[in-house]
Amino acid sequence: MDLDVETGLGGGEKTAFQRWLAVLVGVAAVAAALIATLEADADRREEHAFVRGSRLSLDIFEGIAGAGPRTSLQARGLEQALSLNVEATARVAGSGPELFDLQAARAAAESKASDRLIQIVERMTALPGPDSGVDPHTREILAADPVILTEVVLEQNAQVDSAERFGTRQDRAIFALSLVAITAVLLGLAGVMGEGRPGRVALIVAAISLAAALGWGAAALPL
Amino acid sequence: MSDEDPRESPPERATPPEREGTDTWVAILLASAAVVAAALGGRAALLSDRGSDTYTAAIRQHAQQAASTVENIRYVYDDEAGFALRVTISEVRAEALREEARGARGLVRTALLEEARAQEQVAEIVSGASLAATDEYRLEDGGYDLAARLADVAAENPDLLEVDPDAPEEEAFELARHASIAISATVPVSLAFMFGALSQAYPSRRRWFLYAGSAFLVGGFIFGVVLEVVL
Repeated sequence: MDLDVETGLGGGEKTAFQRWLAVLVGVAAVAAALIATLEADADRREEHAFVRGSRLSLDIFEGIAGAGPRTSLQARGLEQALSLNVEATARVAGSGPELFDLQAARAAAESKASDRLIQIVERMTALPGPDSGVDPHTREILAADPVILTEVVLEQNAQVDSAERFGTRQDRAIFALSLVAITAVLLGLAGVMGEGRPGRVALIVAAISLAAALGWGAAALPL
Repeated sequence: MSDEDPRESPPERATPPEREGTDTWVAILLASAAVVAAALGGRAALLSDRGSDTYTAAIRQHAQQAASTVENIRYVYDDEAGFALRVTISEVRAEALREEARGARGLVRTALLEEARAQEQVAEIVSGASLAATDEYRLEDGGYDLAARLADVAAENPDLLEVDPDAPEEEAFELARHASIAISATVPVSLAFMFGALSQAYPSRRRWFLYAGSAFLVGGFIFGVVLEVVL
């Protein structure tokens, strides 16, 4: 049958090959837009999770490194204050009769000094209050609690896992987009080759490629 | 089907005037869809790029802030406060020894005063090693105001005090969301493209496909414009 594809069927009806070509071009365009949207969304979420994870890592570092000096100074000060009293008492116990009065007097002085120093050390190493002049961020770091830091570590790990998950989704979406690009090339090739065997092969491979792209894009969604 | 090679070009026929008009509209629809999709994609890429840069700025600022904060704390509580503590201990001991010496006599009194003097000398010598152990930071009841010293050390770099990494992170989040929405606006445009392609495949329904395609194209365009105005 000699068919005029422009005017032969009801004033310009197309052949099956041409219809499939047009339908696949249209579906490929929609698939590209949908997969690009999926890719962009995955990229956005991955980047955000990655940034959150990175910043939480910095929070952990700050909390550990920033809270330590104050508490270790406090411990050191209290230890030195208490040791004054202990050492003075030990000296009294170990002194002979000729030095007893002196050591007893020193012990009394050291004992008073020790009590006072404990109060001073606690005051010097107390957490700065809002009216201390210390900025809120530094106050927050000085007050970092190991228990809270553990929660931050868990949150940081969760963000890293999330970034990895969305990264995998993005990778799949990019692969699906690549398949759509291959589909577009094959459809263009089929259009150039026309309805012969090479054109039909190109069209069939394009359809398979497009189906694979949609399948791969859909496989990224549950992640 | 004929036995002729289908790849051979069919004989040229004149296109009916009605089809010629719709052909033009199909071409306009497809070209417009391509242009709008490219514009939306380009805009999304720009926004996404700005978002990435701003996210990087947030991390950079946070790292600067963290390094500065930790270094200030370490400097005051590790380097300076150790000397301030040493000075405080000597001052308090000297004071307690002098107080005890008031009630003592003879050699005991002399020994207590000598030791008090020695502690005062230690305090005087060590205080020169630390800016935290100066009268500026001395507390009324003894010791030194390390918090005030920390505030002063931090104030030496006022730029770092004003750093707020949360702000760029929030801005980057919004930019990335904006980019994501801009990309999603290409979906209706792609539907316009699809209907344009279908109108080529099904000439008998071409008009309806053209209407649908045009509607999606206009919808996608309006979506893109609204996105720019509202977000």
